[in-house]
Amino acid sequence: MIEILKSKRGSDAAKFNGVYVHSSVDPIKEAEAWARSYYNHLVGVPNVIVFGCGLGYHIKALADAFPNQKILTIERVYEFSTLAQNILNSYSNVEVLNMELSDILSNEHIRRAVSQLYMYVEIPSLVKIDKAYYDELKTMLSGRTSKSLDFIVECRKDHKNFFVRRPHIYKNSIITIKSINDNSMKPENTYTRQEIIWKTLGELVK
Amino acid sequence: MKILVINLLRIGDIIMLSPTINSLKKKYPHASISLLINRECEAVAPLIKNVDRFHYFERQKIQTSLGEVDRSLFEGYDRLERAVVELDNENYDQIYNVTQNKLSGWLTGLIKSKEKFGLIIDQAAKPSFGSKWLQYLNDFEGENEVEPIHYADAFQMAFSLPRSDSIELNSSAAKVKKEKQILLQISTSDSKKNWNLQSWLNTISTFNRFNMGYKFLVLSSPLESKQHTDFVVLCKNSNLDVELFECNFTEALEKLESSSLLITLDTSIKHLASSTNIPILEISLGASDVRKTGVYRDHAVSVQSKLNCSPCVHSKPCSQSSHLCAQSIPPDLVALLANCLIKKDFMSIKILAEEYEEFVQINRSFKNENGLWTSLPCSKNQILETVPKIIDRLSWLSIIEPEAKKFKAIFIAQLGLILETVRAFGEETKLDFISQLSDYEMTCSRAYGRLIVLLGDLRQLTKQSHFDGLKPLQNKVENLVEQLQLDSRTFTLSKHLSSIYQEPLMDTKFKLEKTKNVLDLCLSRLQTEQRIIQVLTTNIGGEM
Repeated sequence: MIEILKSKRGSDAAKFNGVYVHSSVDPIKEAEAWARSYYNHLVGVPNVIVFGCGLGYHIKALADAFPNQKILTIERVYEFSTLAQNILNSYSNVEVLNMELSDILSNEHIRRAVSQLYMYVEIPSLVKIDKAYYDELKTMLSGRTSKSLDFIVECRKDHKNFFVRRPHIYKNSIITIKSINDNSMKPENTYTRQEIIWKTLGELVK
Repeated sequence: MKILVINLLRIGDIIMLSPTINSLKKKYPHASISLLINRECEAVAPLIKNVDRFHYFERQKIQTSLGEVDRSLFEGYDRLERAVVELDNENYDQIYNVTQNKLSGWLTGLIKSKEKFGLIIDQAAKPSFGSKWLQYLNDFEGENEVEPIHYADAFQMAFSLPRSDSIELNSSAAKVKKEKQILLQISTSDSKKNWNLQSWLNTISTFNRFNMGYKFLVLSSPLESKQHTDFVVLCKNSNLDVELFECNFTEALEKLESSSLLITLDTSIKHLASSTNIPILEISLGASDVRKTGVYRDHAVSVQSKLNCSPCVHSKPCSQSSHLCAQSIPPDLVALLANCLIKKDFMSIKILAEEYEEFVQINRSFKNENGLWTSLPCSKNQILETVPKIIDRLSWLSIIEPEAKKFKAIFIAQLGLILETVRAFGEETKLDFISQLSDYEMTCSRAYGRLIVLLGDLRQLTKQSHFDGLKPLQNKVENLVEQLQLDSRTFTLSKHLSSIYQEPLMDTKFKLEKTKNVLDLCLSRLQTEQRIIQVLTTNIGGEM
């Protein structure tokens, strides 16, 4: 299923089921351009979760740009996750995961990542290989459905009290800042710090 | 000492804040001052004086993460929490919130500091302003009946700071020779504030008919470049000497120093120009209100529509079927005003103001070291309409300014400005002025009498053990409110009274107590107004 070929620039390129997943001309340049498009968004984000890995060019470009940030990459194809190690082995801030969804969600690295500021980004050509898998993963990491909110809150013990006291939030099919603030903020004597942060965020979407 | 100033508005507002920052530096010369602004305003940071450190609020990143379903719900939460923790770690001694909105109020409440000034929303969701000035800004500045206070003045007064009456920016420009060029800022990000491009073109064309050798430069940021290039091409096709000047703020500032005139809409460029001595003509459209955010400098001229909806509310779409306020500004008038400003011919501006007074209001700005920045109409009739509003504003200030010495300085400066302006119109105007003051005096006396009667009723009522008379008293208050509202000169008194009985949760005794306080306040304001009228009448009357 996987074919490794030489690109025009001489570095390795790859095909999956006959379709190129890296540029056939210059995969390194392609990966750097992809990473550059995220620079502004990822500055100061300590945990970056990348969907797809391939031969690892994209992850290398990201790790070079953000040496102090933890990069977790989830690769559905086992062979790619092994091949990528060739160029990612020397990066201590990079973890490549190849697992079923249930294992991903119980993975210690993932749980630690989602317990603080994190963002997820995707490599389109690799996500296409198993779109359903990555879509479900994305949903689980979004915190915007009941199931995924439960998962995130479980990883963030300090938020448990806030959400347990507001079960109606879970009734929304898609949980947004509006559904949190509209329904859950009852007049009480004082608001906690968490409640004030959610309220402040509410002002940004008005 | 470490001070944090919070301004989460736009670039123009940050430039307008510079006198407040300079005042803070005057008051605390050894303090380290930090400024928290939106990341989108980063470009203006190098120009702001006396700021040791900038913090950036990632507003757009947070907003985007909150608004997109496939982004983590917690991203915005985490970003905001990190920003607060970062600011907490700075251990600020004082925080000044100069953004009058809920977002900044909550944020100021969240950040740790020994002292906080400005709008704060506390853990009980209760807002506090910490200053009667800011309470006044919040409660009354939106009302058209009230003559507003310029924001640059209001914040300095609110925080009891020593006075800085001009915008001073970091500028590398040395004294440069003026060139025969006119700068144009032809668009803003708010479509309601924009003027038709054909009107701009007609203005240039008319101006060129009676002036030779002026070059027009269209100021443009890289983002505006495409739209502005199209305009320049349009001008060139009409044989007009117009060029595009794509620049950053520092380059724009240098160009302003060397040019003969700026014609601008309500944009950050206008505030940037306030720090230079270039003559400025502002076309004030949509929600732009020169009285609150005008060019904070002497002798800037603005032109705005006389439509009832002008200035409109910033957050609402235009209420008219077409952009009438923009259509009511004739390009010929703008060209004539530009010509007058280049020649510093303010007498001709007065004549134009009277000729066009049915459609537009032309204002000129006046700053005063001890008083308040004020924008006054150039036409006689419009001045006569504005004077009662300034008297009304002074009566407010007598209540909100805690320092008698400061109020006295403002009082003397504002009265001096009114007298000087009226005198400049000649003897005939003095008569009209005295007559109008006399009408106003009668209105005040009538209102005073009614308030005294009401206060008497209230005193009787509070002596009773049961408050059976509350309903009749409420009726009397409502009746009085209606009467006060009939006359624009007592309208703002009614604002004090009208809210009291609409508060369902307030208990009867508290309602009565509050009514008494409000009545006392209204009486005090009326006394101040009568005193001002007397001073003005005596001064002008004595000269006739």
